[in-house]
Parts: sequence; C-alpha cells; structure tokens
Amino acid sequence: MDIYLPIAETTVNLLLIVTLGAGIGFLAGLVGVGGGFLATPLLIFLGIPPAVAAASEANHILASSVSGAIAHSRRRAIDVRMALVLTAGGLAGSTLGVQLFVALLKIGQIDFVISLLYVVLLGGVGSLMLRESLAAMRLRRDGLAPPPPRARRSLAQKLPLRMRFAASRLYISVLPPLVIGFGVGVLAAILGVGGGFLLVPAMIYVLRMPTNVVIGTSLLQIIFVTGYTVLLQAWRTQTVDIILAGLLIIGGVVGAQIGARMGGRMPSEHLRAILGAIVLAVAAVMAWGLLGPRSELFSVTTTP
Amino acid sequence: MRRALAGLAVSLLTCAAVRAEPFAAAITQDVVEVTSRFTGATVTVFGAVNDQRSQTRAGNVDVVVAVASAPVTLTVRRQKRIAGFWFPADPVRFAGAPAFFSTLSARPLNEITDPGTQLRLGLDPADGTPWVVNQAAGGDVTQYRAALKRLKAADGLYVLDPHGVDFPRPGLFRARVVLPANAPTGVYRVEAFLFRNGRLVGRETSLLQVTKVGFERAVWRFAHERPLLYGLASILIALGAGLAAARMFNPR
Repeated sequence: MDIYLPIAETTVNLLLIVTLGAGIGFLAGLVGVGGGFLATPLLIFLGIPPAVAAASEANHILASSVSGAIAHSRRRAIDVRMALVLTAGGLAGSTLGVQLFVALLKIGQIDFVISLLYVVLLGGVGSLMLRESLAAMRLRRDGLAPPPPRARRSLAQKLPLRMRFAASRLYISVLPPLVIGFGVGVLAAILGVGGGFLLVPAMIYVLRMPTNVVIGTSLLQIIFVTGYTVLLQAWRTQTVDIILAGLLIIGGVVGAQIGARMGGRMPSEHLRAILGAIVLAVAAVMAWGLLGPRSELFSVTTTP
Repeated sequence: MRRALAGLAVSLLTCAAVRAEPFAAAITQDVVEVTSRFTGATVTVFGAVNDQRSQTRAGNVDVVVAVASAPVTLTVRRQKRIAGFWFPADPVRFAGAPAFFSTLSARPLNEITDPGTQLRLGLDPADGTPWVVNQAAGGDVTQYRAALKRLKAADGLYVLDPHGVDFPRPGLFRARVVLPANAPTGVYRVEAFLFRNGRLVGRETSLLQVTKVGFERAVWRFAHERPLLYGLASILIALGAGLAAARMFNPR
C-alpha cells in the first residue's frame, strides 16, 4: 500500500513507514532515546530528501517523546529543573543548528557532514556505553558491589553558578548542563535527531545524575528542543512533511508505550548495553559508506 | 478517420512549427493529478501520419515523442578520497537541465536522424547544448555529463526508449510516457516530431500539467503559504498524538 508525500514529493510504502515508526518508538520508550539517529538515515535510504527526512523525523520524535515522558513522569523519574536548564542551552543550539543546516544544504555538503558526524559521534558514544555497561554487568554477575563513586569533585561542582537539582540529588554549576544542552541542540538540528543518544551518556558520565531520572529528563528536554526545531524548519525551510511525520507518529506512540513498560523491568546496564550496541552498529554501517569501496564515483543534487 | 483525429488534435495542441506534411498528435490527458495514491502515471501520446507507407519502422517515416519537465539546476560532484573518507568535491553545474525527460521512438535516434538535428531539437537533453556549465572541474565535462545521465536514468527520470513508439495501424502512432512516482510537479512540454528520411517535416507541441490536487495540494500550500502556522499545527498534532497514546495505554 503506497502513499504520496506532498512535501517530500515522493511515494512510500505506508506499512513500512508505520513499522519503522513503531520500532523507533519502542527504542524511545525502552532506553530514552528518540531513535532519530536510526530513522533519519533509513528515511534517506528510502528516497526521502535528507532535509525533509530530518525535519519530519524531528516532529515524530516530539510525539514519541511526549508519550514516553508521560509514562516516566508517572514513575516520578524526571528532573524538571535539569530538563529546563538543558533546554535553555538546547534552544540556542538548535537555532544555530538550523542555520548551519541551511548553509550546508546550499553548498551541497549536508549528506557528507551528516554521515561524518554520525560516524564520529555514534562510534565514540557507542563504544563508551558498551564498555561501561558490560563492566557493570560483569560486576553484578560476580556479586560484587559497583565501585564507590569517585570522591574527587567533578568539574560541575567546581564551576560557579551552582544550583540545587533535588530530583537528581545534585548541587552543581548550571554551566555544564547549559553547554551540553547547546551542543546537543546544534547536532539535533543538523542530524534530525532528538539527541538522546548524546544526552543520556552526558548526563550519566559528565553530570553524574542517577540513572533512574536520566531517561525521563532526557525525554522532557527532547520535547522542548524538537518542538522548537520543527517550528524553525517548517518556518525557514518548509521541509516538515506532516503526512510522513503522522505515519511515523502512529507507529511511534504505540511503540514508545510498550518500550517504556519493558524498560522499567530491566536493569539499567542492560539498557545501556543494548543502546550501545545499536549505536555502534549504525556507526559501522555509516563508516562503511564513507570509507568502503565505491562503484559510483559521482552524485547529483537538484536545485530549483 | 484522419479528419476525426486531426480535429481532436487541434483542440488539444497549441502550435505546429513545421507544416510541411499533414501530421497530428495529441495526448490522452492534459493534466496528471497527483493524489495520495500517486505511484506514477502513464500518459499516451497518439496521432496520425498522412502516409500509408509509414506502417513499419523499416519505412522512411519516423515519429519521435519527447517529453520534458521544467528546467532546474543539477549539480554533479565527483567523490574524492580525503584522508580515507569519500568526499563529494569538484562540482559541475548543469543549469537549465530538465528534472525529467522521456524521449520515445520506434528505433534508435541515431538511425532516425543525424546528431546535429538531435541536439538542435533537444531529443536527448542530456547531450543538449542549452545546458550551461558554470564551473568545470579540470575542464573535462564529458565524465560529468555521462554520470548525470547514468544517475538520473537509474532513478527513472531520464528515459531514452528506442521501442517506445509503435504503429498500431498504418498511419497511426502511439507512445506511452511513463511518469515515475518521483516525477516533479509542474508544466511539461510534450513534443511529437515527424521525420522523413532523417529530415524534420512535422512538429506538434502541447503542454501537460502534473499537479497536486485535493488534500495533497492543500497541505503543500499550507506549508508554503503559512509556514509558521503549519509548524505550530505540526507540533500540536505530535503533542496530541503523544498524549492520546499515553492515556490509551495507561488509563487511570
């Protein structure tokens, strides 16, 4: 069953897109990432123009994050204050990101930059998460307690402008979360992702937030930043395809609920290991595309 | 028979540059509607040749049908390895190239007429001179032009079919133009050429409109004419869907 997308100006298989949305939504609920880092490349692969894929995917992530965040808020696993600080940085980052996106689109290098960023970011984050979570799983299996948190004060505690984050049991400077939010916002707008795959590890390893509030907080921040990105892309580039987003949303919201329920029953290091493995797999596929042998040495882009 | 076809053709056609021989052509529809079910379309161009000897391709009369969408700018880049990474470099711009074209005939173009005439009539726009190359990388555009034809042909957007025209009856020709799902919207130029012994003796031009209709058109116009409002609506739909799903799966 095929459907024509009015903004993307191409035809896609309806069931394929809904299924893709459900799979991405499942991940969103399970590990607190929007799944945009999987969906955007897949949509591009299906023939959707990169600009439309990124902007429409942001709208899809918005819906599945709302669905997931509500499930997490019922378990009181959200640090609202932290989410707002991250969002403040994120909105500024997203504004810059959309500008960069438009500029890269103009000089025809958006595809290359997206692929390169994916390989570098996903490769780094994925191996970090996988190594850490496997170490944690080994400790648990051997019946050992995890090593006590380092007594050394983190950077976040040394900087000025400290603020109390009750839900995370932290008293840290607002500067690191602002910078993290900004960086994720820039990348989110360029890559058409929510940025959860960067936020979750940053919150755990840099801000040292307790893992149980990380996912809900990440989802809340993603809601604000993707909502803003959608508005900006619709306004500046007219690349949000509401039909495409709608199909992804239908699958996504359902998948997110199922994922959130399963996520609540699994040990967090297992979740991190799953996420780490998926992230590494995507990075490997992207790296092969950039580094592997090619039979076609030319590419063509259309400007009206 | 001839008069009936010619009458129909006159109502649909706009001009005929060369009136050397009686020749008429028409399209089965002058509008292709792009709806949510659009998976491409087939438009038939048909017409009459006032020559009873034209029944086979062995004959000395040939009909060529050329369809092209509005011109755009196409940029071709060569992938270069930089520090191991494939990097799209050395752009060559082809300005005024059609985003879609389809040239149909009953035998290869080179058997019908000389390359100069083909070029002049734009029978194979990929070889045509109207394309202005703004930046030439290394001076050699041949490879780029070949790559452009290859890539667009792979997407079904550049079609050269030497078996695309047939003669169901003596004096009657028919050509099926296949528009793929990713064919651009806009006004297409449909031209039918009549050749006798390689010389152009008849030419008929008509216009074909490929346009979004109904809901698809409304969505597109909303997105382009009220972009800020469209963005807000998109966000509200996403928020509503997320809330509805959360409520549905976690009833209090």
